[in-house]
Amino acid sequence: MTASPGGAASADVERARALCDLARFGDAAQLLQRVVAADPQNARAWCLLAQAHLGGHEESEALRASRTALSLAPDDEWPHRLHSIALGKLGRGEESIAAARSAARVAPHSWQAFVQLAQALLGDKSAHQEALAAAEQAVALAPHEAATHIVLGMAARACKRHEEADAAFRAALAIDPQNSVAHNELARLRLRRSKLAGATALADAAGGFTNAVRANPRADVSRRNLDLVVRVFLARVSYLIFLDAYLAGRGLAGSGSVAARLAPVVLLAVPARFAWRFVRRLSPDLRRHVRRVLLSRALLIPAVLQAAAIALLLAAVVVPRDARSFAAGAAAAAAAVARLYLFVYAQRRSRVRPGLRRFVSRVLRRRSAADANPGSEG
Amino acid sequence: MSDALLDSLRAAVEASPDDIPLRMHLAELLASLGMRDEAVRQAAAVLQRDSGNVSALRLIGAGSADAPPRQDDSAAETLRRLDQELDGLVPPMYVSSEAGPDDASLGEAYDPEPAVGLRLADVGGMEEVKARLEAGFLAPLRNPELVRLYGKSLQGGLLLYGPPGCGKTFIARALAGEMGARFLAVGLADVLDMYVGQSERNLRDLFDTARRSAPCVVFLDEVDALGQKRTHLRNNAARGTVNQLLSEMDGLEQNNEGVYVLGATNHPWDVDVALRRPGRFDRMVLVLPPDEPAREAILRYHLRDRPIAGVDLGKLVRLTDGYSGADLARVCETAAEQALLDSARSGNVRMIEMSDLEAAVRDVRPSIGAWLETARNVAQFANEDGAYDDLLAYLRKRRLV
Repeated sequence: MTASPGGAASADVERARALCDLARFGDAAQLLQRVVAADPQNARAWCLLAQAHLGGHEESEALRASRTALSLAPDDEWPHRLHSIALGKLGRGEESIAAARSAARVAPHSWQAFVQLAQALLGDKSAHQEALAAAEQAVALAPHEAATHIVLGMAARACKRHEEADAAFRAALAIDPQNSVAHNELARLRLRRSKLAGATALADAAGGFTNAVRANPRADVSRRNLDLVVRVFLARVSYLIFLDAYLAGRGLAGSGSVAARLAPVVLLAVPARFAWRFVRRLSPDLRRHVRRVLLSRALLIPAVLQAAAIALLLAAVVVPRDARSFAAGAAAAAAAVARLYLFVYAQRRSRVRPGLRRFVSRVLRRRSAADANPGSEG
Repeated sequence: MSDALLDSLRAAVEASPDDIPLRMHLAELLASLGMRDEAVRQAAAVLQRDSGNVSALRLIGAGSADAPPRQDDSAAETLRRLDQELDGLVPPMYVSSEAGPDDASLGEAYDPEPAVGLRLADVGGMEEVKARLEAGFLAPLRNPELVRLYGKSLQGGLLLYGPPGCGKTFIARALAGEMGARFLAVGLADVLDMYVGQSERNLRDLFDTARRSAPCVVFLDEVDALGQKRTHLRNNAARGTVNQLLSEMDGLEQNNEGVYVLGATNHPWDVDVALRRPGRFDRMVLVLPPDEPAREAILRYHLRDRPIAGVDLGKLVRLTDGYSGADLARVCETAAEQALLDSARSGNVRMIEMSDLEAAVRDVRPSIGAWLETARNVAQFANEDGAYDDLLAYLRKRRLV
């Protein structure tokens, strides 16, 4: 890397570095613009400028700065890596991978280069195995860095090697218990792996997202994921009530026995047990948060629909025989509408562009848990 | 040459940021009008895209010299004439010598300012904060015998926290005034100097100066920069600074009698937990956006030297609920700017009216939204020790949690 010629410029670069450390990216960028104006050959300053722009979510500016740094110091790893990050943020995946490969080629002993290479490769579905190899190389180079274990976990999860992913995220947290990204990613994994009636895993995922927010209160992504858990909880309650109503309806239609008549109430034990186990496992602050989200205007409708479905199922026990099937059917419909509402709500939140094919393919393929947002870079 | 032309050029550059000749043209134009800072910024932006651009390098070289701005240009002349016309009618909008409640200039590091006449009574509104400061900080200091009788300690600092631009620095100065103490302010620039210099020694010198000048208030502004969580810091100098600060606040090597440490931060959650242990910043006071009386005082302050007519201050106060002191200052400046532009366009000098202020309120949105989002996360999920109970109560009151 080209050293800064002037002592004052060098001090300013150090100040800018400190500002970046303090996440004051705007101030850092301003200072660095003055440095590079006075000393345009200062590759380190250009790199820091790119980093400051990246921190300030100014990807285009970051790309320009990293490109200049690259032209000044093509044999250094840092400009290549920054260039790769900027390209990735701009959605130029292939170029990002190429730049990350250059970083790893220039500095085969740099764990940061391999972390970036793995992250860039994760953007390409056909390159997940290669991403895993790059992440393993990063861990081999720097086993004491939480970031290497996080990227290994992400790559393992992408390759559906969930046990390894779990272990990697736990390793990251063993190194840095306050690592918000590791908490978020582990919680995402738990959410994805949780089964339909798996209340414990769902509650643990909520706890993980809470830990991520606790470790970094600016982690909006984790906060959104926490709200997602509440929606997933509601969605699963809807499924279970629907199933209950369906089975009860069939039973009521086929037989007039006492057992068939009590079936709706007995079957309600399944969603009730699920909800109870979920809530019981939450911490008190999280319980308050869940209650608040459930009572928010956005989710009040599905919550009310589910309450109505439960009321209808209870009513099915006492109403005259002719109306029982109708009550069970209405309960199933209410539960289905609640689930549909949650689906539409999620789609609107993720601002999916309209398009029937896309819509249908999402309905068929996408599991709610897959909506979980990835954490920010470690 | 007119301002409108300059604005058009700026807009064109913003629309085509990579158009180097256009940007260079703007830079040269700005330089010719004596607007050196902006010219240098534009030239730097050119260099960012084309590091070898000779014109930009030449302009920046010239920009660093003390070339006097050209006065014979028509735009400069027009502005000067306009300024003369308005002289006496409209006071200057950005007067650096008059510090507002939120931008009181910080003192020179290592050079304590003598006790100032500012008192808590000079802080408009915010009665709750003042009462807490009185009870938690000033009363014990004024009654050391009572404090000893009840077995309490006079050690420990006070951390003011809250959204940006809400008067923490002003309150710190008022506290120093109440105590009749000298005031030694350390800001972000000083912290950065510490990072590039010998941080531990610089900090030791700072506290030594405070001890020599006792009674003295050491005010650490943006304390999250100086005492950031060490786990977040990659810089060894920064870690050393935090350790040294802990040691100085504990007064391990020297007696801190008469040295009162006040801190202010927008982000107390970024401050190293060790700094919030007993004997250090063990008391936290939340400084919220100004309440109604405070908003009225701040608006009166910012409007006091401006030509206003028919301003319904009560309505303005109601409209600006949730605005920080800095936001209120911007509202007044925006309204003044609007009236000034109108006057310049029409040639008739007019007063700042209620409609200007209402339009400014619509333009200037409260700046504390992002802070509130983070604060909400902290109050809900990171308040195990009850340190943020005040914040939680405020958020509940505003129905944000």
